[in-house]
Amino acid sequence: MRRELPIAITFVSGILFLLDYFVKIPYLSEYVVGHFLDWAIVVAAFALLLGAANLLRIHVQRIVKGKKEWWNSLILLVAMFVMAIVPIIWTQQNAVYEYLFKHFFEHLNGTMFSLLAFYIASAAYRAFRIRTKEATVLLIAAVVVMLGATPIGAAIWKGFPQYSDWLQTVFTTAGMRGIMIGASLGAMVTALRIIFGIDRSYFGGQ
Amino acid sequence: MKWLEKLQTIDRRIIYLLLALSIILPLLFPIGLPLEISKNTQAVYEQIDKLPPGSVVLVSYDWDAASAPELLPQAEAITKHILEKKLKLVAVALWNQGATFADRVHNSVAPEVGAEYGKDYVNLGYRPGQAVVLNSLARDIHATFPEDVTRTRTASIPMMQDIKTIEDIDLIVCLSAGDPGLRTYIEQIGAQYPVTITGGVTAVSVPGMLPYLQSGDLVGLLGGMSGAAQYEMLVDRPGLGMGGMDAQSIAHLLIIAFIFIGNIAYVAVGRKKK
Repeated sequence: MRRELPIAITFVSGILFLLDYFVKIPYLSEYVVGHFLDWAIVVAAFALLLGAANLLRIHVQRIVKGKKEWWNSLILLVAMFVMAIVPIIWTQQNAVYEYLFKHFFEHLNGTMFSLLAFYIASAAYRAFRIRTKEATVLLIAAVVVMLGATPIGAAIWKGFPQYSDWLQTVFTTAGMRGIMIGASLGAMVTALRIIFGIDRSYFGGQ
Repeated sequence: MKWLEKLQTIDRRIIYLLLALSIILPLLFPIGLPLEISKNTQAVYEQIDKLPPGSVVLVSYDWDAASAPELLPQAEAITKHILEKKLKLVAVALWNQGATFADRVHNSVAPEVGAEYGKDYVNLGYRPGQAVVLNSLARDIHATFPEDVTRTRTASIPMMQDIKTIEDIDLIVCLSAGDPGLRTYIEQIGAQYPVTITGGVTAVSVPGMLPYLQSGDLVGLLGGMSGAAQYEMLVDRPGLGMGGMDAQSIAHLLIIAFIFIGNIAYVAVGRKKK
């Protein structure tokens, strides 16, 4: 039963969701699938809690054992608790939460992402060499798209935005469509394997 | 020639410094480069503009602070358009930071247009669960979001009395920096219910959205800071988008210049060696 029951639940709920996506059946769609969805949201909320608990366990261990740069773990835990507890008690419109979010978190998060611009600039300069014909085509396409995406491109030559648009709507879209169709087919096969109990990796180690 | 070889290996600190200057200087001293409205930006504008007063627009905040420079100006410009047109705005978030940004946008735009919380707009906050949340929302908004961010029961908010399922929503505007986001709305809502979906994404996400634009699943799209700047121009609210376009232009030009310098040196040194 330890194996059969989860497979049966997975099969029934999988078929229900699949059916509901294409055909809305009165009662079944509203109540049965609706309840399944409510449960799924609750499970997702618990997954967040589990993540926080795991983070807590790992970093408390680091602090207790006095591992190298343990104070970073302490800062992380203090920040995590303050940012979680303040809005839980006083809602997210609380002045303390808003101040911490706007003046600390937002800038820290933004800085991490902004650093990419510097790495990309340096990497583009070093790696973008016209070593082959293909690399030359790639370089020309990149320059056209980069200039076409900004007002300075149109100021230099009116053709940049047009050719940039053409490259993206024809070539990029064709490539993206291929990737998406491939990924979707893969997702469908994986879903069917799970629904029919062929793929049991979600049992975890059994 | 040694200087040609040196041009191939410019110290990365020089590149970083010049890039920083190319971003900071145009922000301090704007050039005011002319902007052109793209057809995708115009399509987003028209979707909102054609709605009669009282129509309901669901705005989804599916991004974090890292994407705020691109998506915050988009959100502010779109929110101004929605509230100015006297449409009802329901904000939700599939990303946990989204609800905080929704508050900020509302606090910035609502006083300008005299909109009132609970009557003209509402922020229902964040729910975990990604695609599942959208399926649940489509069936019952009040059950999926039982409270707003101020912990007021959704059912007791005046404007939410008649907004209960996806059938009560006239337009979805999803501002997203990845998944769950615009793609999730198209797959989970657009594929099942007859509601128009439009939105905005970060510049890096635009290629992934183009197939949906061509298929008609997505109507209009704001792409990155450029899309935000164009929308700000359309709604006559200059902000971070228009302010950042000069910086983005000069930064792009500088990167292209570095690529050219590297290649000229590479070709010249290569010929000399031959």
